[in-house]
This record gives sequence, C-alpha cells and structure tokens, in this order.
Amino acid sequence: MASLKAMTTLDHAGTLTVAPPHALSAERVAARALRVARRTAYGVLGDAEAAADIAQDVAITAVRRAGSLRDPAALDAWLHRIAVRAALREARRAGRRRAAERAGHDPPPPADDAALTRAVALLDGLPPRQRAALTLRYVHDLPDAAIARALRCRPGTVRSLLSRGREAVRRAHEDDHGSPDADH
Amino acid sequence: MPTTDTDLRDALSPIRELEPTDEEIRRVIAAAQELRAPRRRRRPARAVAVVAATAAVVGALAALPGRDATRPQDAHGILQAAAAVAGNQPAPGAYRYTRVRDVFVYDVRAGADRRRATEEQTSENWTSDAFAGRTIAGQGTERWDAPPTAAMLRYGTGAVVKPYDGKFRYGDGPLARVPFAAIPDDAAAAGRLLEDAIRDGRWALDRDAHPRFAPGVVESAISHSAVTLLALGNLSGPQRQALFGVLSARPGARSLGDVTDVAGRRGVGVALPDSGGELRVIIDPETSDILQSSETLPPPAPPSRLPAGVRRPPWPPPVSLAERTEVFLSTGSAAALGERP
Repeated sequence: MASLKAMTTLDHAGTLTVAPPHALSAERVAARALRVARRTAYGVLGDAEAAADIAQDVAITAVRRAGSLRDPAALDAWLHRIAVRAALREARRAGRRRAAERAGHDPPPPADDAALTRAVALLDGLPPRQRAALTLRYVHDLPDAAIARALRCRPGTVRSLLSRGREAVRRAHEDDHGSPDADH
Repeated sequence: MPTTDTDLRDALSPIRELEPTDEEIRRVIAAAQELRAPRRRRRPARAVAVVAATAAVVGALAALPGRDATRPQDAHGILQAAAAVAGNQPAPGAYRYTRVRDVFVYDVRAGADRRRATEEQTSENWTSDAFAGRTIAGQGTERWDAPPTAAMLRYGTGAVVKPYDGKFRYGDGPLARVPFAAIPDDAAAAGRLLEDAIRDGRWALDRDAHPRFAPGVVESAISHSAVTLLALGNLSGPQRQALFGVLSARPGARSLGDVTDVAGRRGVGVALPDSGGELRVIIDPETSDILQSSETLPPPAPPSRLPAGVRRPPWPPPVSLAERTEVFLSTGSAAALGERP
C-alpha cells in the first residue's frame, strides 16, 4: 500500500517543498536523481562525463527502486547517499586506472562553461571525501547530520572534513594569488 | 577569497545550476523500464527500446563526422546511438569478414624476477549463420619488456603466435555453438536469452559442465558475448541493434568519450564493469562497427581453501594474462569463404 505521507524536499535554495504523495512519479524521481547525483559527482570528480554517467546509473537505480521506498519523504536523503557512494567509488577506480588510461585516450574535454570550470578547479587536489563534504554543504546546502548520513560517518567527522577542506581551498588560493598578508 | 561559507557557496554555485535535460530523463526511464521488463511482455519493452534508440539517433546522426556537441557523450547515449545506426544497416551477406589483431599481455614471474610478455597475431575470419567458417592467421610475434630468464622461456606464454588455417576458432566460450538466427531483435529478449544460455551452457562446448558462477561472472559474460557477437557475428541490423541495447542496459557502464584505437582510428568509447576489471569497447559512430575491445584483468585471485591433502598450486602463478585487446582492423560482408570485401 502506498504511503499517505506527503513528500517533502529541501531544494538548493533551502525552500521546503511539500508535494502530494502521488507526485513520486518516474519522471520526478528520474529528474531529482539526475540533478542530485550529477551535482554531487561533478563536485567529487570534477569530470563532466563521469558525472553524467554516474548520474544516469543512480537515476536508473532510483527509478527502479523508488517504489520500494517506505517513506517518499526520504527520497532526497537516499539519493544523496547512493550518489555520494557511487561518486566515491568512481574516484577510487579513477585513481587506479588514471595512468593506464592516459596512454590511449584523449584528455577529458574541459567543461563548456568557464564558471563551472572555475568552480570545480577550486576543489582540485582535495581528497574525494573532503570534496564530497564541501559539495554536500555548499552545493546541496545539507546540514552536518545529513552529510554524516550520506558519508556514513559521525557529524564530528563531517565538521573536520569541512574544516580541512576549507583550509585546503584557502591554501590553494593563497598559492595561486599570494597571501592576503603579503605586501603587493 | 573563497573561505567563508558565503564565498564558497557563491564560488560553487555553477555546479548547483546543472540541470538534467528532458532527453536525459526520458533515457533514464526507458533504461529502467527495459531492465525491469517482465519476461513475457516482449512488445512493450521493444517499443521502449525503439523509442529510446530513435530519440538517440537524432543526436548521433547530426554529429557525424567528427566530434560534435550534439553527439551523446554518456555511455547510455553512445550505445543507444550505435544501436540506432546498427538498426538501419543492410542485410548481411553469406559471411561476415573480419581482420583482427589479437594482443595478449602476460605477467611472467620466476622467483623474484618479473617480466611482461606481449604476443600479437593478426587473423582473417569468415563466419556464416553460426560460428562456423574459416580462420587464417599468420605467424604472430612475441616481445618482452626485458630479456626473459631461462625459467621464463620454459613456461611459454600461449599458442596464439603459431600460424593457423582451418575452421573458425572462437574458442570454448559460452557462444561456441550459438546459432545466429536464435538472437532476437529485441534488446530485453536478447539480454534474457544470453543470460539463460550462459547459465544453462546450451551453446558451450561442454554443456553438461554446469559451472557455479561467482557473483558478477554471468553479467561479465553477457557483456563479452554481446561484444563478440557484434564484432564477429554475421547478424542482421535489428539483431545488432538489440545487442547494443543489451550493452546499454548493463549497470555501471561509463563513457570514455572520443578515443583513438591502437590502429589510430577515431571512435567513441564505453567501459563496462567486468568481474573486477573493465571491458573497454571503441565503436565507430558512423557504422556502429566495433573497432576495438580490450580488457584489463585483475590480478589472479589467491587459491581458495582446498580439501585436505590437495597440493596448493604455485602462488602467484608463473604466467597470468594481464591485458587482452582485439583490434578489428577490417569488417564487411563476403559472398564466399576466402573472399574479401
């Protein structure tokens, strides 16, 4: 029997949307899953094509299994969890195969959008879990507890990941542009 | 400087603006429906595959030749576009002709010494309505990354370097005796048939062996079988369309984008999960021909627990296959054995 609970989602602007239960259609699940997973994977991997592939896999899984979700309001949390897991798994695989693949393949094309390229460059060189934490916080606006559930760690670990991630971004920015305290 | 919460939120805002297109949403729903199509409902699944393929072909055809932003760059889109191109191909002739370069890379160990040996051989193949036909293979070559020790030379690495002229040799895989006419025109049905045939061994040389498959092995065999049939099978366009549909429904496929094969030809690449490794396929988007397939094998698994009294095999094994590549240098139809297109 379908759940009679309304579906609530928190969009990127922080607006709480309440939808009737019948709104959990395949189109809605696919669109939401593609959106969540592509943004997450793009933040973690910095590769548009890999992010598109992961988004597609996550969305297909979501459409196939959404019917068994006991609480439709939990859709977003579930999507964040499977998207982060898929992106981190791909980051591990990519690390192993990067050297082998470079020999025969063309380098990945840069993103068409310069602003997008600059955004993802900000996260370059950070460990995948730090990238994931920063993406979940500053792209998806998730609170510590939700990030902890997606990353399967304690909220304290999330705070540490975010703090170290911010510090790494600051250091990288200083290396590129000089320290704010330095004389120019 | 992007270090405060507000700065970082602003700096990363372009990622927040990534939105799925209607076409992507349609493709996901079609793929999900294809994967969960019930066994007896063939017509709806086929209709979904055809709709998805038709939608994808618009981008594929508009993109030719050369790279174009409208050509699908995700794995599912690449395979669906290839399916649509394959579906429009003319009926095959009496034989499918292929000229193939096989490359095998072995890890060879003797004590603390370790080498890589690469064997290459080029063959010509003709296959008719099954894997019946002829293979002519010239003398192959073997090269080492460093001079091998005497012990390594004693092991030997394989037999592919010997010249051969005789019956088509596919080997003893799950498709050794597949009748090509049995392959359906419908992606969901073709996927089910491949899975069932691999599990019950109906086309294998030793169909009574009834192997117990480890997790993921059957799925890998389906991908390998579909690629082998696409490359070497004398199949109709709709059958090839169905097999590309089988590949596009494999979970975990990822795009390699525009790539160049070892023969220097441009194509589009897709990687499929393959029992701990990856099966990489390069496709000519204009013809849907498979240009190259390659796999990187995971290191051999340590031997499992053996019954008391059984001697453990040497570990690690002295020779293990590390990489395998098939480059399909030339493909086409031929009217008779020995005739070249």
